[in-house]
Amino acid sequence: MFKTKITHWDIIITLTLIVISISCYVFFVHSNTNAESNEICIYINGYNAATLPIGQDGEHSFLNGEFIISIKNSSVRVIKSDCYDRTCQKMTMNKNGGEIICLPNNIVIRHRQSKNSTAGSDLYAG
Amino acid sequence: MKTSKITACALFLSVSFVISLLEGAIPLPLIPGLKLGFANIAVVAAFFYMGKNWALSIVITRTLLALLLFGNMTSFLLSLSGGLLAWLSLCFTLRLYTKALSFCGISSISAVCHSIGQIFAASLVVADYAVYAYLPLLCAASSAAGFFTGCVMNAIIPRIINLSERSS
Repeated sequence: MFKTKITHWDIIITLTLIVISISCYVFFVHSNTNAESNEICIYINGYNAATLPIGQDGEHSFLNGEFIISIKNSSVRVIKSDCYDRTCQKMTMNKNGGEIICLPNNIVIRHRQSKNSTAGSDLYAG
Repeated sequence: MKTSKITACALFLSVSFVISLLEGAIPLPLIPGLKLGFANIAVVAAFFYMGKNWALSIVITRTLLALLLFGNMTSFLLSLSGGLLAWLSLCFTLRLYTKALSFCGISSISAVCHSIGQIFAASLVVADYAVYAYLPLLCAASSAAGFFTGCVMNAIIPRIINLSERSS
């Protein structure tokens, strides 16, 4: 009744899913390198709360100090968030691409959209 | 029979919920928010042992329990949409079980469906299409994680079912 050994179809299906996913990821990365921007936009609840230059170091506070981002050496990082798992604090985005999303706070940080830009390559849900 | 099924359902639910909590406490280093999905072993076992409706009740009750305990609506929506899509994929792919696939392939497909469901819910929460950029990376990782979980299922589920049938 039970199949306890891995079949060749298991391996084919898993590898196919991984290859398709990685291909899509490479496509996103390639698209994003063409969409370099010197500014980032912070969207809170769908509204643009701020537009900041990525080349200017500093810390910026949102949601009455509950959500703080740091820009240092053209790299953006969330240094404080009151979300439940703080996943958004684990990774960064830089001038070459990437996005940070904090789902519990409904915050999206991404590069300012240019006419040719598409979605970013690294997206971190927190 | 009904009482035994309710008892078994409660057992599968509690096992699934505890594993889910433990998994949440152990973050994987590669991708933020990624879990191995061991909690779904109990759901698949329930699917086999009691049928798809009981498995669905476990998926829904588990997410409701998490909402009641932690009160996080975002997490609830993500878990529910991912869980429902994964359950739906189980309904279709389990027909292929023993014919072509073992639990490894089924779990791999199910994990990818779970990720798609979660990203879909996330895009609704933040009202931003950009969330889908995370999908390829998440699908690749969850497919591999699903395969690994499937290997564990191959070893565990037949024993659970045999044990349950022997004792009933």
